[in-house]
Amino acid sequence: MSIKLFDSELKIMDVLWKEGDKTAKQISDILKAEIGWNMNTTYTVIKKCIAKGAIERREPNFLCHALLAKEEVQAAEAEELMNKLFDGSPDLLFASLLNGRQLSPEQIEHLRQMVAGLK
Amino acid sequence: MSVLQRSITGAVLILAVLVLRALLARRLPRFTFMALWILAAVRLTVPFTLPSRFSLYSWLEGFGKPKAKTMLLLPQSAAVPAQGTSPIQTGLWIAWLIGAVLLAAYFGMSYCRCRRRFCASLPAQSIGVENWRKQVKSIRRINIRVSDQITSPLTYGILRPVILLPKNISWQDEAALGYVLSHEYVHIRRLDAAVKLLMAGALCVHWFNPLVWVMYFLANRDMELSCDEAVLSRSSQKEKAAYALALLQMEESRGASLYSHFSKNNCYFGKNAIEERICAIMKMKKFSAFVLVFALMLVLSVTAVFATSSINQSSVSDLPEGTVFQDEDGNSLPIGEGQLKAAGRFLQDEDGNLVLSPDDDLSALMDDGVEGPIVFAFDEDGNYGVYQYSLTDEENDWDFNIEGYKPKEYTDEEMAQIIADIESGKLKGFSVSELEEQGFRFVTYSENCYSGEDAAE
Repeated sequence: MSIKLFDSELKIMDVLWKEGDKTAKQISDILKAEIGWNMNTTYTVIKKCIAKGAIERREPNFLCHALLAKEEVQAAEAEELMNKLFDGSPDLLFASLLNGRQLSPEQIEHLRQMVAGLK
Repeated sequence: MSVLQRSITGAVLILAVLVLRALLARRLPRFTFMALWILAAVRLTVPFTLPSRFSLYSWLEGFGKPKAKTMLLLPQSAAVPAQGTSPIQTGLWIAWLIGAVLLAAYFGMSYCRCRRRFCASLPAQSIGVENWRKQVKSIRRINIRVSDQITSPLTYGILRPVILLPKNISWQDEAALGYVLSHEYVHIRRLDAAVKLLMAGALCVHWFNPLVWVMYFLANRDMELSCDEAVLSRSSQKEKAAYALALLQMEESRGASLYSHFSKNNCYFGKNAIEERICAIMKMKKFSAFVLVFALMLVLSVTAVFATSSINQSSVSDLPEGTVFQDEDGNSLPIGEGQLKAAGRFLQDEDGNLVLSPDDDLSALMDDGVEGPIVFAFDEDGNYGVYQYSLTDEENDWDFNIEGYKPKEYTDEEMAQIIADIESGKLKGFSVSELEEQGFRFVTYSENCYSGEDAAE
């Protein structure tokens, strides 16, 4: 995936991933309550997403449909993080996560199982 | 005053600030220079000035005789500054306008682009930010948000200020975060967003003046330095070092700046700005009360000397020898031989020429910063005088303030002739008033030229 989304664009995607297809107006209402964006800001960011090919505009009422799945973006972001900071090595990334002590033992166990599954 | 005149007087002020800055930068608080830059920007943008006896320009006028001026007599219908504009002048004027509009459009567009990006930011949710917010009380609600599209912290908005933090700032380091937020908060308290707008305005109007560009960049720098100073005014050497390190860390983590123009440190001139900032922070010291008083005196005296106009500027008390009177076709009118045995209201135009003004609204003239309309009168013998209306009492009555000239008293026959000419329409736009208390009769340009109980007829 070559689409790089900014946090603001991810916020829009997040709404679509959580709530399914929504009209631009609905997205605007949701984000106004949640993070205080005004309508113009939301519409500008939606247009950016459409231009990047992350959202498809459908009629009627400017219905927004996510073209990217959340998993795709997660994978791409994880990949980039790994390449940028951990020399492309998943081991180092995991080591860092485990050292960070921000994970509960259950989470660590879950990760272990995931790694085992991937192998 | 014309743009060029303002640019020149502004440049003199900028040069003065540059000299003071070079000599005293380390000895005075930075805010002194910031105040002087604001003064210079106001001088450049605001079209009127206060006259002062201490003004450099009052002093300069003591030397050399004023040059002969050309007087232009315009009929009522003609527009005021329609006088002698050569094609070159028109061309220069158009070039100036194009430059100013282009630069303003550039500023406006980059602002809108940045603003759009800033708006698409997310609320900052971090313990450090919350802790800092609890310590600060502000009249305006300060919004703290995060964006992954900026590389250094910034503040925008005048009425509803927003502090925008880059996403990759060190959220764990509460001390550094506190410094960053305090720095931005000083910007908010000092309305620096408005100051930047003023500086950009001055630059748009005076884009042709290199010294104004120098002012623009140095003022931006001094703004940051004086904010650093405010944050660290009561800090120990150790805290200063921590602040300097926090700055450096931010500098490191920033890649290519997305909007270098609006970013805070630009290395356009001389020493690298961040280097200058770090040096200034580490050498920062507490200023004694004496130094603060001195700084205040310095700002006041620079204001009095460089930011004011000559006391004589708006009250023309003399007409130099060789003054020529012209009609709208450029023909010179011999004094005394013409039919114009009357007086009219004259205003000084941009070049200092006196122009008969068809505008008869006194309040409008006051808004233009002219003390009062200048009234010029001459007679057949070539005697002439210049008077100015001014406010003399609390009731805001207009009165004559006669400077240096005794008005020529018209004989009754002359007056009758003038009145007849006016009434028959030969002298258009003039009206007659008698001021018995002043001991002379006076012909004004128009009926509502002044109001007051003295005015008869």
